[in-house]
Amino acid sequence: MEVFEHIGSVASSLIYFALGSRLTLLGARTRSGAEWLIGLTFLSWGAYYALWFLSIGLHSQSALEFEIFITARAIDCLGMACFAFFPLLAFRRGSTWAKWLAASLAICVIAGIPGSSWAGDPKGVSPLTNFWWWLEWLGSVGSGVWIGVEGIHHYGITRARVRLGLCEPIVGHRYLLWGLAGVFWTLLDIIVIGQYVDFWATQTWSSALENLVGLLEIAALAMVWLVYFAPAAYQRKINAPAASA
Amino acid sequence: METPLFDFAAQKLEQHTGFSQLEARGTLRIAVKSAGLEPKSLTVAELRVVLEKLMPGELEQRGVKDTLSVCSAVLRDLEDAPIAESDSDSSNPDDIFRRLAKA
Repeated sequence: MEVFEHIGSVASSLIYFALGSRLTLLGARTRSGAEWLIGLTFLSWGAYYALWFLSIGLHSQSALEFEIFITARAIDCLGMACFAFFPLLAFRRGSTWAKWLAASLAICVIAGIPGSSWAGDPKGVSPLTNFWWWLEWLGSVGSGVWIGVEGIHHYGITRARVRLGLCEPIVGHRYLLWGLAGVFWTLLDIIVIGQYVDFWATQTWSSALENLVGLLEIAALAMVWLVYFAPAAYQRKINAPAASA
Repeated sequence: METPLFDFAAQKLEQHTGFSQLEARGTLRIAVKSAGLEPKSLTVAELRVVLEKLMPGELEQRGVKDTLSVCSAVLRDLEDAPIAESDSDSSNPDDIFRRLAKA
């Protein structure tokens, strides 16, 4: 039973919908591109997980299952393009190299998903024969790596600001949580390669790898959850050293 | 590209220490960076903390005698001069990550 994968998908859908709604509303209020982009990303991920889960339930009606799955991939494509631009607006606004990197990652995703359909692999399950799959994967893993690196890098430089009282500990901690989420998303993308190679060799999806993917989804989600919905006691614990200083 | 605030503080540091322009800018840059800040987005409040808490140590390492009075002099100059503070346009990472949890 791929129990972790199913729990991970349902939890991901609900939490990403909730976060996406809140963040797009915040983006509308503050007119900040970063909030808009990550809000749209989370909404699209919520829709992707919901449709993906629905497609599993429609195994008996293969035509409808296919249409729903392709719709899910198209929505995911838009979300991943927004995701590629989030680190630019949140961490590297105005940087030329970051603009190029964000645009390149978005192009990889936008070209990769339709490209897979054009190459006869619309579901994107044949990485060994489909060049476009790798383009899509590169866009996805590149964004995850970038988020991870920026989060951990900013956590590192924020520690000095926290010590000097220039930044609240909880803000620095949020960078760390984002960095860890980026690490989990990256690991997830790497495990996915193993999944497809295993599928290619055995023509069955490995339960162990699906559970591992599910666990990584849950771990990334937990990090994102703590960024946005951290309980008061947790926030007090993080802020405690500064309060007592 | 540094802010006018950074340029002003470096110039005052040069005056009060006898450093060359290069030495003054380099010392200030090191202090700003070790506070986890960027010279291109420095604010007056941040610079004040750097001058109070980090700069005395940096100056002492470079053989400046009365480090506290040098820093106080630069701080006084800072208060007297109307310096255009760099944009704190609520789009720096700290502001974004501060807002995110309040959505």
